[in-house]
Amino acid sequence: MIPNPFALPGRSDPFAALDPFAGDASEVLKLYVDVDHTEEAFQQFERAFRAPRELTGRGQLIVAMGESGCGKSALINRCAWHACTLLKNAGLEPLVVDVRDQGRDTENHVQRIEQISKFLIRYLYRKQYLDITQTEYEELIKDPAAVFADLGLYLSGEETVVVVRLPRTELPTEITAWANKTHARLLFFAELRGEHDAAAISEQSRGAEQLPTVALEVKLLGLGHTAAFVRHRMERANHPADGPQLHDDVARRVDTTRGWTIRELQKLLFYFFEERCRTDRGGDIHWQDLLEYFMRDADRLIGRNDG
Amino acid sequence: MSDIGHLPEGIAAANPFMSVALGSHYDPEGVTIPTKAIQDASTTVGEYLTLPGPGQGHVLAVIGDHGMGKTYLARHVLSLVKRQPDLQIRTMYLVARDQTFVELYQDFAEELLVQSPREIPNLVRRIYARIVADSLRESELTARLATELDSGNLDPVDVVERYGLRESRYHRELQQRLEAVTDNPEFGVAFALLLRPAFEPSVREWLRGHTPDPLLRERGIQQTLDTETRALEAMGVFTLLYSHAGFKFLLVVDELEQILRRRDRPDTAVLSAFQQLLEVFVQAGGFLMLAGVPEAISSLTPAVRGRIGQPIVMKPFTGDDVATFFKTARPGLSEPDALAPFTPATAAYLAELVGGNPRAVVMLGYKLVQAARGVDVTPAMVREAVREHFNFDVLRSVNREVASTVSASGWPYEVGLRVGQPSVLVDYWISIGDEGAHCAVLIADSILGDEDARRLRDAAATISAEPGPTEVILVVSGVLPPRWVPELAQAFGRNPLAYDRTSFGDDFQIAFKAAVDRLGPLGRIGAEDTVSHSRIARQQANMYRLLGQTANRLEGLRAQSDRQWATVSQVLADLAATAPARLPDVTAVLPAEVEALFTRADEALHLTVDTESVIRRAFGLGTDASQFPSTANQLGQTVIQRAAGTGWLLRTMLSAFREAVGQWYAEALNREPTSEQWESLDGHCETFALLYEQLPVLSVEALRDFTGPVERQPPTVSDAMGALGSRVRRKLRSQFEPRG
Repeated sequence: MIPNPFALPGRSDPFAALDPFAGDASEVLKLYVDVDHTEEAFQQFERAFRAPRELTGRGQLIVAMGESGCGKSALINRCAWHACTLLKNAGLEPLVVDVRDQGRDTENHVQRIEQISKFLIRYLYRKQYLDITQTEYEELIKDPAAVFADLGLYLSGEETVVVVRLPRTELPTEITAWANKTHARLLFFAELRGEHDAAAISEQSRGAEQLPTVALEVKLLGLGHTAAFVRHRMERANHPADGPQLHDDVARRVDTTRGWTIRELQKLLFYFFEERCRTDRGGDIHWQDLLEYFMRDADRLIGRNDG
Repeated sequence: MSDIGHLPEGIAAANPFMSVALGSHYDPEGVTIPTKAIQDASTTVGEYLTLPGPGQGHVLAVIGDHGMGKTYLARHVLSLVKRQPDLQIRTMYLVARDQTFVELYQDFAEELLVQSPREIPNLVRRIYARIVADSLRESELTARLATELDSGNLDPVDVVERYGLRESRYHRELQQRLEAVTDNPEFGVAFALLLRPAFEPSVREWLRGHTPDPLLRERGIQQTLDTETRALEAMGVFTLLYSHAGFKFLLVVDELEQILRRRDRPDTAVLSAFQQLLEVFVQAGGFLMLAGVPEAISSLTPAVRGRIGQPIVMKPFTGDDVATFFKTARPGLSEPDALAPFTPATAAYLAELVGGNPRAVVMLGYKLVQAARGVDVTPAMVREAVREHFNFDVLRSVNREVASTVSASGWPYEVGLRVGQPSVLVDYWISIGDEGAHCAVLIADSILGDEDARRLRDAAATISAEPGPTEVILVVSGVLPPRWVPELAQAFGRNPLAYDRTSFGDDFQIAFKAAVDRLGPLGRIGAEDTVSHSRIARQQANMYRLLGQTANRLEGLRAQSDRQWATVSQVLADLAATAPARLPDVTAVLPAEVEALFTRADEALHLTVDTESVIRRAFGLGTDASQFPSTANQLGQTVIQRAAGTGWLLRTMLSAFREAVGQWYAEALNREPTSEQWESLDGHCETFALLYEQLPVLSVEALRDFTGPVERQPPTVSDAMGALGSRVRRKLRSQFEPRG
């Protein structure tokens, strides 16, 4: 059976966002493809994050925003990873705290921030990253959202910078609130769902204690992106030349009809190639094949063709 | 003379009024007299239904005094709509029970959000499906998915997840679409959030009139639906939502006067919002039927009335209508049997005495057929039935309102005073001013003949002959046939006040104020001197004197109340006592269709009156003890106690009725029922109906919240029990009808 080139090795969920922090970072970084504006966004981040030592004096928030499925998570994970590399290169010690699973949908953003802040303080204290007494800890945990202004002072490592990976939100006000909580030796990475005005987000988060917020935008797939993505995945997987191949016309038509997201494309190709690779059928995949695939899948979904 | 005993088996014993269902409880299988009002309303609604899609909307007013059949008409129209299964239509019937529009909206929201919890989320999902489908249709690849979404074969949320579509974009489009549809950004946000399970409880709570929780506030929802204007707007918004989702929406608001004529009547801003609601209905292709007394509609501003158009007026029944009703109720019989035990003359007399009021005709017709027992109804029997019928709680209500108004006026008064020569018993004798002026209030029961009218005219003359200026107000607590109104108006110097439970308080206040004003400057000065010490002193004196008088009257009222209670208890006891000692298991022998009727009623009652479980939960007993810990506190509320008491009575009644029917059926299986046996069954059914009619059934619904969420909503108590007597009877009769 021909391996599915869209199934990523070592990953149980083929649709999970790319994350250098999970698994072999050097391999994961090779999976990033220059599609849906993520490369431009990453370059924008690189340009904005040139002086990591500034973080010892002021905090900063980096936010990726865009519609769901356009690659925000993959982008922000890449930026966070890159930031850690740059921090290390600058002689600093990045301490990554992942709070993406903290805070619930059923809470408002104030409650969420408080809960995440508590988690963060508890984590840092238990891991002995904070140079404080038990009594001081108990005081801090009482008003967790207010702790950030002085957090840098409590960190035991003099060169430590806390890199916080925040949960996704759809509320610009929550992003602004987080931006205002960044202070010396704090670097936040966040995701904002939906289309928003990047300039406005940066402007609203501007403060004396903060470096300018960097708002990065991801977009839909553009012309040539489907072909580039398919080519990249096939090359990386050493997909055989006599295996199923997506006809150029198909890639062009995908790019030019209804805006597609990278997640949508990945899902389509993964499922389609799962079916095709299982039958060891090689040759070109035409538009008609995809059409028929959607017909079959629709039948499956409505339970007409279960057997 | 006709003799119902000679009528064919199975028909003779039938009381035709049973099939109409007593009072306001509509039985879709019962007899409907196709009056012009019913025909007109059915035609208007029929035209509305034939329009494709939501179509052009309509606002229809149905006006008529109490008991003129407005509710019946509304229920009938709704029943016609429900019989058309292919229609995409949402119907709703609301009663404005001494409420504001806020409470009416809460009832509205309760039905949409609590009784059918998935309805509004599904409506939103339907609109969401269209948005996703529109997007998928842009590509040939996904066009098939779009078609399946449109036809409802696929769930849009599943499709978005399965194919990794742009959920955030679709959610935003949904919100924008809903904002545009409802013309209200807050509703746009709220409805869109219904797509996301985590937000549903917050949205439901807000839509039911609570303040928005922080989760909603941070998404831009700030207002609470707690003013009349917002409540009206909200009702319009739901109409627009249904319309946009492709549904027609037919809403009936009954007894509208209870909102429009309440003491703190809606102000201009509220009426303007009400006008907007009418406009929204028309715009959105909804159908709004407003039922109320004529004054309710005439009290609206011309602009609002302009939106309503020509109302349908409920006309009184004539003697011919009553006769027609008999014939309709007893198909296959010709006169005089079809009219038995009435004659055309007594039918006309009944119609005349009750002013053609259909509810009274039905109620009294029912009683008279029961009372006749094989002989023709006579005019005397009609009069007696009328007197009995109007002698329930009305007198108490009349006294309460009169006492309240008179007492608040501050003038000293006496209750039950004999005045003049020969003496006349005056119910309230109020001294106005310091110079011997008086206002007398005379409370009469039904006026059923020239003798009654003459007696009252004489009383007016006697009272007026008293020294000093005197005004007399005549209040009629029973029936007041129109033919005696002019002569009484002449004798008393003003029209008699007929009791109307919704407006009597206001009517009496106006009449009393007018009487005091007519007594001249003394009266006026006193009445307007609202802050003077003398007035306060008079009120205090009144209070003390009234305490004494009230103590005596309370005894009388308690006795009356005890008598009513004794009647109910006696009938219940009779039902149980007449049962033979040992009987087969009732549930095992009743025909399935009849059993289903009882089961349905039992289900409706179980959900609403299970106070025992509530109390058990309060003590931590039962498996779900932790679920509704706060409900026990509510047991202290009067409304809940009243509901629980009514619920207990209904349960007892249902149980006794079921037992009685079971026994009847067990006997009937052994031997073909005789006419006496049919009569006995009718007796059980009618007793049930009569008892049911006298209970405040709607109050039981207050207990629904106690039960918490349920998988399947049972019918309401009024739906399941309202016409139970006639349904049981009909089903059992059909069991014994010759087949083939």
